[in-house]
Order: sequence, then C-alpha cells, then structure tokens
Amino acid sequence: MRKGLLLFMQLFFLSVLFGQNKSIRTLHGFIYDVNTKEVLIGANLYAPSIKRGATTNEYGFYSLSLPMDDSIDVYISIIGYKTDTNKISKNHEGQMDFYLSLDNVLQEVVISSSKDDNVVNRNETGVVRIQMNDIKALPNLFGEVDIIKAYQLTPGVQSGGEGKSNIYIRGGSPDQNLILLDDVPLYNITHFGGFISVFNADAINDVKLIKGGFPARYGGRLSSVLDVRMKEGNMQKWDVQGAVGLLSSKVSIEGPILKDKLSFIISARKNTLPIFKILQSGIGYSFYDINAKFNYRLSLKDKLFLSFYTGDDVVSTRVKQAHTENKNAVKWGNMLGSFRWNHIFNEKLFGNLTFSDTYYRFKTIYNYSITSDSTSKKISNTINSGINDLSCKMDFSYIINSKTNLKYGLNSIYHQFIPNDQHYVQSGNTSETVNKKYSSAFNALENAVYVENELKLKIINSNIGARFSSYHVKGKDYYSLEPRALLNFILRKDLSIKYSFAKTRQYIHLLTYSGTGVPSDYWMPTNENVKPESAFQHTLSLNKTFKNGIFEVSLEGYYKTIYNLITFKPGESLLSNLDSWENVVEKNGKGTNYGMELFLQKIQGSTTGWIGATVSKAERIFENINNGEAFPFKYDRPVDLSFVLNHRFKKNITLSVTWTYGTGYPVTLATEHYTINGEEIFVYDKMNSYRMRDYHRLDFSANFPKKTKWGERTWSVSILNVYNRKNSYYYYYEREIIGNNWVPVYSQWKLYQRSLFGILPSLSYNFKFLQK
Amino acid sequence: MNKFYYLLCVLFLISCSKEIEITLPEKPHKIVVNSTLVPFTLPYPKALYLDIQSSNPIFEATKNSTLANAVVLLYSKGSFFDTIHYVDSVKCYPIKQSFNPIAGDALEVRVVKEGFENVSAITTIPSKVMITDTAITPIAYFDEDGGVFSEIKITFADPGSEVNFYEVAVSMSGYNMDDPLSYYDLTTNDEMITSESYYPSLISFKNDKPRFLLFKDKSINGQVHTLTIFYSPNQGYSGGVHYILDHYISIHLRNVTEEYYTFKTTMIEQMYGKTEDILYGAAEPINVFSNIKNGYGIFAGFNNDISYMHINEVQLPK
Repeated sequence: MRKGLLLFMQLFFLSVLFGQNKSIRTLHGFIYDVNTKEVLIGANLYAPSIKRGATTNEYGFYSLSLPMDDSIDVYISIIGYKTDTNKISKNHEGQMDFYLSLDNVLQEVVISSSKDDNVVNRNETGVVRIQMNDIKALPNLFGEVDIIKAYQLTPGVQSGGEGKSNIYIRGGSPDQNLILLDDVPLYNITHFGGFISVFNADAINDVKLIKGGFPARYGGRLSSVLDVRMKEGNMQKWDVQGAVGLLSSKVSIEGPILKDKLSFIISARKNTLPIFKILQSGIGYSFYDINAKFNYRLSLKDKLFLSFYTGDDVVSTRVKQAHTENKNAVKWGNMLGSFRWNHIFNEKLFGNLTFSDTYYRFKTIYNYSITSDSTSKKISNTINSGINDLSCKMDFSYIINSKTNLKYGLNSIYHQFIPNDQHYVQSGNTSETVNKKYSSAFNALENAVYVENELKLKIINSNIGARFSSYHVKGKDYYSLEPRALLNFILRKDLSIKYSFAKTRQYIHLLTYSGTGVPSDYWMPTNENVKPESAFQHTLSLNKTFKNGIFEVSLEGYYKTIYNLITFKPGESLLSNLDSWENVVEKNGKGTNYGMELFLQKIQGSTTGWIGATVSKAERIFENINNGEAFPFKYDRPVDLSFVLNHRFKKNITLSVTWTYGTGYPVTLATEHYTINGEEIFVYDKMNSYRMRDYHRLDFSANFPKKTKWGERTWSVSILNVYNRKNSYYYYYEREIIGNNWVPVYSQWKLYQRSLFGILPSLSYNFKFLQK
Repeated sequence: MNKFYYLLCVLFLISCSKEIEITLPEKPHKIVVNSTLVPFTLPYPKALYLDIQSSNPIFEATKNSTLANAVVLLYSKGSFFDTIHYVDSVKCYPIKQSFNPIAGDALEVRVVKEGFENVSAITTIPSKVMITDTAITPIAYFDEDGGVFSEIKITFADPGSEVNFYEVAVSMSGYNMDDPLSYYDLTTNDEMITSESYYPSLISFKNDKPRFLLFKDKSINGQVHTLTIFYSPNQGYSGGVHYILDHYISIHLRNVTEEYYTFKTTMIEQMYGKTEDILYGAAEPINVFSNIKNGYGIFAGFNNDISYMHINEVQLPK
C-alpha cells in the first residue's frame, strides 16, 4: 500500500516537472451553451494550423496548449451547436470560456469539428455516446423517453426481454454495470417491473456508455460504465417543462436563483395510472422519482454542485375479510445525494472532490391480523435488505501539454450492508407474544487509488494506467492491482487499430431470483467465504471515418472472462436462511464471453442514425448447476442487429425508425414427463439448451415540436411493433381437457409462447414554458 | 373513462399466446418408482406398495404407463426380503403385510425391466416424533365469501440430536382412522413454513393452497414448538343457518426423510413454476428431486403420529 502511494506521488511530481515548457502557453476554461450557461461535455477545440485540439471533460473543462508567439484560429464545436471560430491573439493565455449557440438548421458538413475527436483518434474503445436530442426522437413506450432503451439499440447491449430497461453488456449481468449519476453509483435503474428506466430524460445532460477498455479512473464493477450527467440548471432564464403520458407524468423546473451564479433544476415523475387496480387484480402499484441539482459558481476557478435523487417502487396487496386482514408490500428504490467541488488549480491542473451517499433498499412487509369475539392476533414480519455507501472521491486531471493528460485520484467507500434484516412481531390473546429481531448489518471499507496517462502522438495514442483497490471486512482483507491499457495505432488519418486490456474487480454481488416479474434484488457483500468477482477483458478494434467524419465505423472484437460469480442454488431462498446466506448460493462460478461488434454511425446532418451488428457467445459454469457443465448465459444472444434512423424533415417534424433483430434467448425446456399420485411431473433438459424464436421488431415515431407564445410544445406519436410481430416473452407448456367423463382426460402437452406487446400506438404531449 | 383506461391496460398487459412447433431430442423411457413406506401398528396394518411406471416424451399424451411384469426386489437391513409381483386388480406392486418397516431400518429396492435401464434406491425410516398436544378453535375467521376457517394448534418436541424434516397434514377421518379419506387445504402464518421456498409467495396470484406443509427443524431444533395452521372445516346450510358440520379429522405429524422432503418440496415448486402467469412470467424451471438411481420418482418413508379430533356441530353467527 505504501509503495503504491509512493509511486503515485512520484508520478504526480514527475508529471508536473515534465509539463513545464516556457515556449508554450496554455488556454483553459469551460465551454458553455450560450442560452443556458450550462457546460457542454465533449465539446472540441481545434487549432488547424498547428493540428492540436482538446475536448471538454465531464465538467465542461478544457486545457489547450498553444505556441507562445503566434496568433491562432481555434474552432470550437460540438454536435448540435453552431461551430464557433475564435482568433486567439499571441501571448494570450489563462482562462478563456467559450459559448456556443444551438444549431437549429443542422448542416450536412460541420467544419473540422471532428478532426481531433472521432472514432479514429479518440483514446477510447467500446464507448457509445448518443446525443440526448437523438434519444428524445426515438420511438418510446407511452411517451416515456428512455435513455437505457436507446443504448439497448447499440451493439453488445442486451435488454433482457421485451420492453425491459435493463442492460446486459457483453455477457455481463446488470449488477456488473457501474451506473453513475453525477459520479455517484446508483444500484437500481428501473421502475415498473423493469419496463421504465429511472432516468428522467428531462433532467439529463449527457450519457456515455463504456463497454470495454476501461480507463483506470473507473472501478468497482466488471462489465460496463454508464456515466450519466444531470443538467446543471439554466443560469439565465426560468424554464418549466413537462409531459403527460399514460404511464407517467413529469415536470421539471430550472432557472437561476442568482443569475450567472447559482442555478437549480428539480425534476419529478410519478406514475399516472393505477394499472393493476384498474385490472382489479387486487394489487396496488406506484412509482416516483425526483432529481434535483444546485450549481453554484463560487469563482472563476471554483464550482460547487449539490445533487440529489430519490426514487421508489411499491407493490402492495390488501385482502380484508370479515375477521382478518392481510396486507403485504414490496418496496424498493434508491436515494443518493452528493456534494462536488470543481477547482481549477492552474491552467493545467483541474480537480474534483466528491462526497456522496447512495442508498439502495429492498423491503418486504407482511402484516396479518385476525380479530373475532374470542380471538385476536397480529403478526408483522418485515425483511429489509439494502446497501448504503458513504464515499469520498478525489479526481485530478493534469494536462501536461496537448499530447499528455495525466489523471489520478483516490476513492474511499464505506459500505454498510444489510443483507437480510428481519423484524417479527406477534401479539394477541391466542398466542404468545413475540418480538424478534435479526440484524445482519455489517460494514466494509473499499479503497482505490488510480493513475492513468493519456498520450496522443502522431501515430500512436495510448491510455496506460492502473488501479489498486483494497477491501476490508471483518476477518478478511482483499487487495487487487488492476492494470488498464489502451493502445491506438493510427494507420491513416481516417483509420486506426485499437487494443485494450482491463482487469476489473467487484466487491459486491447481486443475488436475484430467476424468472420474471417483481424484482428481488439482494446486494450481498464479499466476505471471508464469498470472494470478490474479477474480470479480464481484451478488445481489438478497427476504426474508420468516411466523408470528412460524417460517418464512423468500428469493428470490435472482445474476449472477457469472469471469475467468482455467485447465484442461488436451485430452489433455494434467502428467507429461510437469514443467518447463513452463503449456504444457499453457488460460488466460484465462471463466465466466458466473446464476440464481434460492428457499429456504423452517421453522426451529423439532418439524417443521423446507426447500424449495429453483434455476433457473440456468453456462457456460465458452476460446479453444482447443470451437472457442472457450461450452459448459455440467460441473455446470450448469438446474433443481434439494430438499425436506427432519425430524420429531420423541417424545423417542426422529426421522424425516427428503429428495427431490431436478435436470436431468441436461451430457454430450458422439459423433454419428458411422468405421473406420481396424479401429479404431472416434468423432466427438464440441460439448462438453457434451447432457444426461443428469433426476435425482431420495427418501431416508428414522429415528433411535432412547435414554438408558441409561452415556449414550446411537442406532440409525439410512437408506434411500437409496427408489423405486429409476436415476439416471445417466455415459453410454457399447456394441455387441454378432452372428453366429458367424470375423470378428466387430457390432450398431449403443447408448447406455447407468451408475447407481451402487439402493435402499440401511443401519444404524448410535452410542454416547455420559457421565460422571455 | 375507466373503460378507456382498461382498454389501454389490456393493450399493454394482455398479451397473446401462440403454439410453438419444436423438435425435441428423443429421450429413452425410464423407470419411475413411487413408494412411501410407513411403519404401522397392529391391528391396523398399512397397505404398502410400489408403483412402477415409465416416463414418456413430453409431447406424448399421458397414457397408462404402469409397467407390469417388472422384477422388483426388496431388501431390508441389507438382506433380501421379497420379490414383489404386479397385481393387476390394484395396478401396482403390493408388499406383503408381514413387512412392517421400523425406524432406523435401511431399505433398498431394485427394479429390472426389459427395455429399460435397471434402477435402484435406498432409504432409512426416520424415528417417530409425537404430537404432545392439539387444540382447535372451530371459528377462527371468515373469508370474503363467508366461509369459515378453523385454527388447529399442534405441539410437538423436536429431537435436538438430529436434523429432522417434517410434513403436516389434516385429513377427514375414514372408517379406518389411520387411512385418510382426503386432505384439507392448509394455510399458516408460521414463519418456519412461510419462509420455505416452496410456500406460495405473499403476493402470488396463484390461489392453490398446499395440502401438505413441509418444513425443516432448523429454527426449532431441540425445542418444543406449537404450530398453528388453518383449514376450512366441513360446512353446511340448513334453514338459512350456516353450520360447521359434525365431523372427525386426523392431524398427521410426519417425520420424513430428507429425500421425501426434497422430493415433495421440489415437486410443489415445479407445480407452481409451471403455472403460467402474465405478471410473474414463467419461473426458472426446477427438476423434481429423485433418489432413484438411473430412473425417476421416490422411494422413501416417514414415521407418522396421528391425533384424532371430533368437531361438534357449531352454528355460525349470521
């Protein structure tokens, strides 16, 4: 540990010394939207005369080194905004902020915007970033703009079922995704049984998905990073927007509290229809989420952010009879809060400090009472599961020169696990009084330090780094050195080959009951009996741009192995094993995942979109499952295709068409049956050894935005499953009763598929009140 | 307006089903053994038997799969006991009434049938656990249809020196008190049972109540425990008055083998899992446990203590 810290410090001081160059001046600052004064993430600065550029980081900060004695033109651009040209006079240095205005007439060619920031040059691989405007244009379910569903249309990302908002990346399970909302991990990302993501698109500024080639600054999960950045709030004007949909309605308010100094955004969403009550199923269901953020510019060099998110789902049943009442509920949700401080130490050193608390809870409540003339009895049983992370994180970016960017930092997380607490209370005149509590809570400390160096040379770019993590729990300490490497060989200005390697380590595990329906997510800790999960991923990609950067294509292969997976033993449950959950899980599972992904994008112009294709394989092996033989991962999809097209006809019409195709998910089927005491018993074949029918679906949407006296309104029409394809949600066996005898005679068993959606049109209305 | 919402919900949730044509690999037929061996007390000998069948391909309709003319050999305490023959009138392989297994006996069966792989199984009868007390509250509660439920309390002492598996059942008593006519559906709020993974979920749509409550002694090991269960007693109406009818019940406390417990709980889990449900979807399937080597089914036993109760006619309040 000490040696690691020493190395870390040495690297830091070496970098500082290496960065001193008297003939170079450095511009730095932020790039903003001119109307809202919110920062633009991923905006580019490019000086064509010296062929140097820079990109704003996730806080909108840039640092660009220029020769001292020349006057230089710099282009500032980002997709969706007008490119701005600025002449930087000689000897000008220090902080310089830029402001870009929205480009309402999308141009076919954007000057030089991508010279230094395209798929060929970017020091990243396996990264997908979809513009929020494109996400909002995509077809959606009942008006619910869903960023997760947009990313499901990209290669290597599986949804896990019709309409679902989960993400399974390159054969990894959902718990292996690091979902960051403003730098803070979020544990549960779906509402409504997985059909809607918790991210309210009105409150989101930027989203980036990383599937491989993980930079060292990311850690704690094995398979992906979904980096979601909330809006900061309009610094100039008040803005109220909302939508009325059939599944939910939402409203967002943002504006300046102190103009150009302090802004905020608050966004709230609630389900609209009590669907299950309407269906008279006896089940109540509701969900909500609230996002809030305050952004304070303390000085030119300092910014403070306060972010907050909370969201819950509740499923409940209540059966009241003459003398009895039975009330049950399952609740789950997240809450997170964070405080961040951005500081510009100097023109080269940018830092961010984050304090955060993120809390995931899963609660089952069972209440039963019986009251009659002679009898009274009450039983209450509550089972709590959850995880609370208190975290402190420091990240630094030291931009030594336009070719070298050193990033380093440290992170400490205090995990408070509640695997399965129970509180049982029994009272009444017919039974003994019981008040029994079982506490499973315990704590663990996870630490990490990282350093990565991003180098951009003429023919090779690289990002080499390492992350050292430790995990301390009662009776056991774990340590892990996680090397990360990305090499980008630029063969031509429009062609490159990238290789990456990443070792990742995960100290928390997700246990979930199989089958579909109400989620049952239990986050379990690594302890002395259950080892942390590890993954190793290699990627190799070929990247090319066409037509001056309007088209980008990448062909990427990956090979990923995962170790120490856990899963429930067949038929086991946590409830009966409160004090020994390790005994109901299979440990030391291994996953092997490999595949090839093609991603062709048109990223500029009035027509944008992409074609994605994936060929892959994902397997699991556990010693005591499937007789110890490898079996396909539940969401293994050997072939997956997607086609996405957005077109803007005029200012006030945008159309979007998506088509997806995928091999059917694996399924376990019965191949034999027999009868015992009148019960039909099935004999199931090997696990996941069959596949459901292939999946394909065409969706369409049209958006009609219009400026009004009070702001802007948009009517959105979506048609999901245009050609009414009956896709498989799950398979089941059924047989009919034939004959009219007293003793029923059955037909033979038949296999059926259940489909969830037929053709599904929907209409939604979005409004935006703008202060004049 | 509600109709409009209903239509939308139907569009969203009410899905459709379609038959799937699929070719499954042909699996060889296997011998299925079903036999539960129970010690008995004279003068009430218990009819013990073996049911020997064949498994069938899934798409083949259930037919009379009983295998006659199989060679069935029964061993007790390591020694050959008897060859069991098929009796057509009862469609099974009855065991001689002189065979009365006792706790601790190691029993083995071997079955040979041409065209099938030979199968065998072994089991040991567990010790008897006595019911020390029972009590009944005839009117415990009414359901929403006005049906009455009675509460039964069963007290027993769990032996602390061993791991025990239990099954509780309530039956209508027949002429022979030891020979139940039919079993009642049961419910309980005892966490020891509701926490069992086979017990129906709290918010499950599935209304089937189990007739046999199985549980482990993990949380009550070595303790005296009173289990509370509910059943719907025999009821009738006469002259507009609702009665609990005069009837007899048998309360069964069975100390079962681990194989029996695993077989029955996995069977219940598979049964619930097979029930197709639009909200829950289809659960990950589970294979029913079998202790039959090279075959399917169960060869196991239990030791039974039975308490009989007479419930007098009770007039129910209006």
